Amino acid sequence: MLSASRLFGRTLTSTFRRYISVGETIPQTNLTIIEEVNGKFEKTTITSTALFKNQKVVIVGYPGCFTPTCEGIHLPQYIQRSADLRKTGVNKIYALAINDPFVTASFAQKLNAGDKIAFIADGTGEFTKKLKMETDLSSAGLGIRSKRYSMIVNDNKVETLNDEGGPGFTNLSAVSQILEQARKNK
Amino acid sequence: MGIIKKFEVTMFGLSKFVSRGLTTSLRRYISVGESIPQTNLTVIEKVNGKFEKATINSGSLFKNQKVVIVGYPGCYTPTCETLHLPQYIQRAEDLRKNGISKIYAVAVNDPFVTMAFAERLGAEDKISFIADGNGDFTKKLNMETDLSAGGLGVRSKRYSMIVSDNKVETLNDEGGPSFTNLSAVSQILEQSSKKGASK
Repeated sequence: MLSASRLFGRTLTSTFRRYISVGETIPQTNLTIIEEVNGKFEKTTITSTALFKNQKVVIVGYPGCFTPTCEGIHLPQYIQRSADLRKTGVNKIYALAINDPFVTASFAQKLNAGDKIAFIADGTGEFTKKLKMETDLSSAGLGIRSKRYSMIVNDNKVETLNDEGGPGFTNLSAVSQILEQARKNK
Repeated sequence: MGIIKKFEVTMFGLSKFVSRGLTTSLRRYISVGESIPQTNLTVIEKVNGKFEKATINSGSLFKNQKVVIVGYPGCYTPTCETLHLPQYIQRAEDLRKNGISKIYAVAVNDPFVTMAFAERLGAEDKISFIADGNGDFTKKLNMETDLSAGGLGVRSKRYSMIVSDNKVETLNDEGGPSFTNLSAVSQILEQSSKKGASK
């Protein structure tokens, strides 16, 4: 009975541990959004359902504000190509990390994001954990963080997901990949 | 009430008292006279004009040193950035005159955010930073507080302390994120000058 329950428990756990997939609906969560309004970065709270309703958006998960790859390569790409993404029918780009609103707003300023991309400050990691896209970066002193990934979400449904599986940065989560996918799905 | 029932009630009450007492003992935060629990620390400080990151054991870092540790809720948060930490930067010299070898500002933030914040503050070499990214050090001191309501997660309370050769000499604990005269630099200046005078 012990073995059976263990197998059952492990299967249940695996089922629960499967991360968000194509075709699934974004789990409703209260989100803290940082975006530029009239030249200043503002913070608002809105439910994911309302935010993504009837919208085609790109969500870019990244490990952390001010970390070298996120700051130097990954996010600047999305800022640079945001206009091209919009031409493919993407309404908005959201960069998402487990960082609080204050750090996120300062980071947005530092990146000169302007109004090109908006940020989701998932300070407690609630949203990332609901998507099951978290990874443990405690060995680098960062604690639990978001994996690096990109996805296209259409009216709250995941259309495309490019998951690096960890903090690494490859062509998979690069803007070029999502641009190509967005053009195909246009 | 029957004798057995009385016994049950007494034992129940006693066990609750013991467990609550135990819990309180375990949850009691670091106190004056106690030793800093040995922890590996990530220290951010300016070396040759550049902010560097180093890992060092607290036992080594605070050995034979008289330091001030300033706990704060978060990098880039309004009070920490504009009021609390700038005070310590401004009065760093005065603290040194009171025999304080170094000032360490500690928060539950990762090294990258901490380094960017140190630059932003213009801290130079006046104060150093402990980037307690996983919260290990803060939790060992039992000085953590849950700021999830503000979207910050578990963070350090605001506090200041004087630690001499790894022993806590003075502790000013705000009990939460608020900033009052208790954790202000003026308070610790007065406390460190008294100690210096009594030497």
